[in-house]
Amino acid sequence: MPKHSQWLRPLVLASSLLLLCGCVSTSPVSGDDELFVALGGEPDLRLLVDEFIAVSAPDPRVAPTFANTEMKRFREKFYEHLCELSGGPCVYSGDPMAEVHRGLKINEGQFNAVVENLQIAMSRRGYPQPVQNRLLARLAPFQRDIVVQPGNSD
Amino acid sequence: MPEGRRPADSVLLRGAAAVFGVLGLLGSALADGQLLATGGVSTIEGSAGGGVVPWAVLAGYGTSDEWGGSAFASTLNTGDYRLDVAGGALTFNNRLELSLARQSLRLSTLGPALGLGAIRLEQDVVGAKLRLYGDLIYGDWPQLALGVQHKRHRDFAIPSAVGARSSSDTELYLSATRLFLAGAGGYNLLVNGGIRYTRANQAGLLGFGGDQGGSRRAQAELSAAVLLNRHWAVGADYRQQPDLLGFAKAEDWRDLFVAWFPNRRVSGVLAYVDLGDVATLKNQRGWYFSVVANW
Repeated sequence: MPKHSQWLRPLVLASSLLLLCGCVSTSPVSGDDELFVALGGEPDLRLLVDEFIAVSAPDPRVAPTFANTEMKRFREKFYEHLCELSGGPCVYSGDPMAEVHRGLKINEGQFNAVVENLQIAMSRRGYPQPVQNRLLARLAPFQRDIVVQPGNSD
Repeated sequence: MPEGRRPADSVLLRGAAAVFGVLGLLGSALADGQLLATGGVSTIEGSAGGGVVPWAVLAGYGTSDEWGGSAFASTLNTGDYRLDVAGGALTFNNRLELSLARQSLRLSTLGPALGLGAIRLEQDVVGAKLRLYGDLIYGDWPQLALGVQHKRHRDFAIPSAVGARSSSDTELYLSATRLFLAGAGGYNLLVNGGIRYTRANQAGLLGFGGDQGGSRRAQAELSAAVLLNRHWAVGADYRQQPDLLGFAKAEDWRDLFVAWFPNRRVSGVLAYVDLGDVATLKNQRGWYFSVVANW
């Protein structure tokens, strides 16, 4: 038996297992409020939104996209959205993501800058990495609605 | 401002213009659109990826409307061998990556044993990688890329003497890479799988093809990494090797690595690499260091 196959099999197995657990834990919202609770519920989530705004306001990468945004409304709707996505007792009452961002021509770089600012805000609020990533995993599917896709004029 | 234009002024002016021009160029050349660490690091063949396995990601942090790139220097020392690599890559609109690398392998043990001193074998690798489809993080498909590497050995006498058939070759690889958010117990997990169509002996450092076969074959290249946070990743690479030279068995490569991404400009890699037996010398293991600059 060649030596490399002894290594290949466990490695392939390990990768498959990792892939499997990747698929399982990135599956969509399960309906429970575990993440909402991990995020500290309404008071902490509202503070996270404030922290995100504080990080983003002076950021030249994203500030222009907020130029015509009514911040009070954004603050409330972003909270609602995060609350709903994390399984909290909220219903997002704003317009669909695609509609909200239509016309803003948000590119990949601007979207990633927002992700980064949210990561920074979450770190400043002291959230452990797994809680941060679980929230990001629930936001990631909206990337396709928010970012102007290359070669797509809309 | 200036009353009249004396020669000294115009020299100053030109100097300033040149400086600003360069700064402007640098400014516009800083492609920062991608998330930290998602550009991977530089492989020993110049393409972006893990330490020894190219991934479907392209060098630098540029998005679909930016140009980016990287430059790197890496060294691996097993005691019997030392591999030094320097190179760089340019990425256009996150679609096409062009890369260059020069590898220099010092035969610390075999050279003196053959009465040749601590000689070096050099190889150049010119690469291109095309992102075919998908995305590392978003959407339904993993990022898929097709790569080609043209390798040219510069010191073919020794590879030829041990049975290698050719001093240069072109090989293709296909890779798929995906970052699973919260994929490993809440930590982000990067998984890469690739297939390389190759007949390279020790990645070409011992030439191409041999007395045991001259045709290319599909070899697996796998990587997995866990991102501990935005700045640190730990992972492993595995790279299958063709075994075409009768004088010594070639074994698959594997490594464990820690990568540090303090910011988008620089990253560093520390790895422990196991190349198996290489050209009759047993258990070639050692530390690998790499520094990558991105823009």
